[in-house]
Amino acid sequence: MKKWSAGLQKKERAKLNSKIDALAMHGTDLIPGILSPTGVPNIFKLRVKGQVQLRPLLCEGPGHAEAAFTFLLGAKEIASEYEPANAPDRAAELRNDLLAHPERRTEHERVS
Amino acid sequence: MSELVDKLRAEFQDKEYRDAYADECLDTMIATQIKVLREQRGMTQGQLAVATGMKQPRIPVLEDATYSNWSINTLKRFAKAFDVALSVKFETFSKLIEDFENLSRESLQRPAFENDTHFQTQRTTSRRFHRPKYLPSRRRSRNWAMSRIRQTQVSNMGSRRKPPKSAGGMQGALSSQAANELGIQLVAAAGGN
Repeated sequence: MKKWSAGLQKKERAKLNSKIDALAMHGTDLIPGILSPTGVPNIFKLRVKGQVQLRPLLCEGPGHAEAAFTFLLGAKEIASEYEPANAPDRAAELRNDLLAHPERRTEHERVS
Repeated sequence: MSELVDKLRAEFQDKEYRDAYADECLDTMIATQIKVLREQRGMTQGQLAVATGMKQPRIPVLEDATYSNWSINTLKRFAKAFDVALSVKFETFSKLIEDFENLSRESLQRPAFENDTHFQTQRTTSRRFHRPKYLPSRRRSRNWAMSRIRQTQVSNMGSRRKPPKSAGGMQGALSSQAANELGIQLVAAAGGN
């Protein structure tokens, strides 16, 4: 995720950080449409509109980490298709890995 | 000082970055406030569509934090539907970030005009003190005369009493002088019972 963020244009990164800050400060109850389902259970996308549609994928928790989210995979949406392809399924695999190895979960590193 | 401002201090040295970040904050806050105001008024998205003169499918699009093509005219339509004023002003980045950080349902809710306490107070005050100046109609003349009668009763008898039915049912306009005379007569009648 950090590597993916670092590869974004400055403007895209600013918009992404704004959305991440909003999610971190206010959760999902207040801000409408900040997270959307992907069709894959437990996997959500953070939607950032712009010239490039950023769709980092994340999950709640997982496990007992209530009121927390974990970024699983950096993704974009181009013409309603994910890049990388099947990104939500890949994110679900990563979530399962995380449930099996919770020590892999680290604090979010902001990329400015 | 806001924690978020502290966090953003270094990032905001770059103009392109702070402009993009601020754009995103603004879009998020507008969409959130529209949703909060709609819910505060107990309106469905369909009812809001009717009130704004928009098509129903448009409302969820505009209530989405990722919507960014706002126009002043669209916002004015929402302001009218919610019976609030629209205030558009330029602001420092630090103030915007502070507002973004302090975003909450309570901070975004606004009463409609009818619940705007400042105007409620002024309306009451205006009626109480200026009614005699605005008495063009027959009905208002009668009301004013009756209020004078009640005032006279209170001051003379030390308690509030309703005037006799016959006085309440009187017809036609009264000049202030005639009403005063009538008031004195009524007080005397009530005192005699």
